[in-house]
Amino acid sequence: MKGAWWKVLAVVLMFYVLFAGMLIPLKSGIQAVSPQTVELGQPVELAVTGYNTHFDPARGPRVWLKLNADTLVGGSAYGLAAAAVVVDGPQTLRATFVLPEGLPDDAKDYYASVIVDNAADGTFVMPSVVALANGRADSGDDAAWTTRFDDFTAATGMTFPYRALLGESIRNQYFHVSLWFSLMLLMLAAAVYAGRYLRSGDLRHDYRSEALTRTGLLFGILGLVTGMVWANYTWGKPWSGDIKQNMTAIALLIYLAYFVLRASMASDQQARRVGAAYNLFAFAMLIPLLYIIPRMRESLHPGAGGNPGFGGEDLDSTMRMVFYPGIIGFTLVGLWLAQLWWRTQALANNPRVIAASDL
Amino acid sequence: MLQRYLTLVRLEWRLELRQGASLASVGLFVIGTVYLFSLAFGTLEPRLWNALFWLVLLFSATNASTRLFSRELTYRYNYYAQLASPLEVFAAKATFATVLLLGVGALNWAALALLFGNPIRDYGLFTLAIALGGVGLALVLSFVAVLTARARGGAALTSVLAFPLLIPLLLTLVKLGAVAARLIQQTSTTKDVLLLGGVDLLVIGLSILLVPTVWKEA
Repeated sequence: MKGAWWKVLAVVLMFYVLFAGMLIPLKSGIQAVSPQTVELGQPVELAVTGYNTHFDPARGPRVWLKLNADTLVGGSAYGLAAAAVVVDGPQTLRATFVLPEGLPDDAKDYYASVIVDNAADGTFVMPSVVALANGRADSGDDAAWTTRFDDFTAATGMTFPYRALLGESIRNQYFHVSLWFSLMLLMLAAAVYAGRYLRSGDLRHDYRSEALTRTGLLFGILGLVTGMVWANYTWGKPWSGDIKQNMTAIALLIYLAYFVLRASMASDQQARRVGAAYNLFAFAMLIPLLYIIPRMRESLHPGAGGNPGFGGEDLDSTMRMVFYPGIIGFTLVGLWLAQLWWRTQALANNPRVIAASDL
Repeated sequence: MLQRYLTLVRLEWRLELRQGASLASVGLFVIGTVYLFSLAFGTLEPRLWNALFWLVLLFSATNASTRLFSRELTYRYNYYAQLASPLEVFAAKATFATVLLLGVGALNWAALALLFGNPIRDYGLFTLAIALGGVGLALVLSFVAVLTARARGGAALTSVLAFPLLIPLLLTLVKLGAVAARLIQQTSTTKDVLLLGGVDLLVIGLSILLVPTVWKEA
């Protein structure tokens, strides 16, 4: 068992990622608000559908409309507290607002966010969801719009962020993105061993390089599939020809060609040397393919084409506590898999060249 | 070293001229393909013109490069191996492939312009794209040709290996072509040109690093 600590770590991390990633609940949030257009100067009833919420009449959920693009100054901002709130169930409530006849003179646009606060779930927002229509100009309603936002309840317990578009699929971050990170590390290791084989001619390095490439390819396919599952729910279809999807498919073709090349060489010696050279070449071409070109084009992925990268509410500190162990865990599992692969290959083909002690 | 390199380039050139048929076949491939387009399509809109231009260049380059190393590895290989280093031979052949490809690019442009009209507005940019793309295509294909020279099923294997490697290059070239034809307004043209130049330099560096080890007879 000596020297196997990292395999134990791999198992522990994978179980941790699987359980923490799947079982920790999402924060409470607002799924839907209707109607989405309201007329100023009239009372209006907004139906709010929550997600993971526990609305309870006894615990008095409070609801606000807050004018968009207006920051809180000393707890006050342009907004409106609900005149009455009726709870229909743990996930649904109706809030009545009496809207003034016009918007404040210095309002920046015609949209309002809905804020819900209750003792069980804390405070949550659906930004810019209600459009305010038919306002009278110069109505002098600034005072009616000035509202205090305070006494917010802080949510307790470990939760992942609730994003209206992502929903529960945000958990795929720990699998899809971790797989890609570990794939890059595995392919880097494969390229390093390919270089070492070319320099030293040591067979073990070639076996390692090939096994790591094989594992990397497997992870690439898994990363692509998990991405397609995710895309099916967030982008509407599994394959939308996004630049990163295309470049990934090409990267997989490049590495598939590596195996075709090795298989078609006449002698083992040539297969090893040519394969190692191509492996280095392929890894070098992977960098522009996956990291430079996608950033120069429009993409649905975060961090490209004007989309924000990771950070903010897409990756908060709770998610990092699962995401980073996920990267390490997948990488270790990949290394383990590669080790088993190269050991079996080496034993099957060159039992005499490679002593058991070298394994 | 430079002396030997230049001698090899000259030798390559003379060999090609002596076997006139092979040079002519490259030219004939371009003209034949373009003429086939004109029979099949009649007229070409600029977007298609651009795409076909780069496809013809890609296939000419593939044809030329597979031929380039195939004859070396027989009787003449042993002779070369004693006179010049692998890198010198490779550099000479890659240079020749590049020059050939630039010629093919010019011929291709002329033939397409003659039969379908010339949609290119920015001549400087398009010429730059052909130059950078020609170097990239020639180098990648020459490198892959070295790898596959000793493998079974040479030409087919070259396409399998090289096409995925060339797709990023071709995508950038098609985009630059579209910019040169004023089909799209693009502000990041400089970045694209730099990307092409970067890929060219990357391939040159990798070739210097890897060709000597691959070249060795097993």
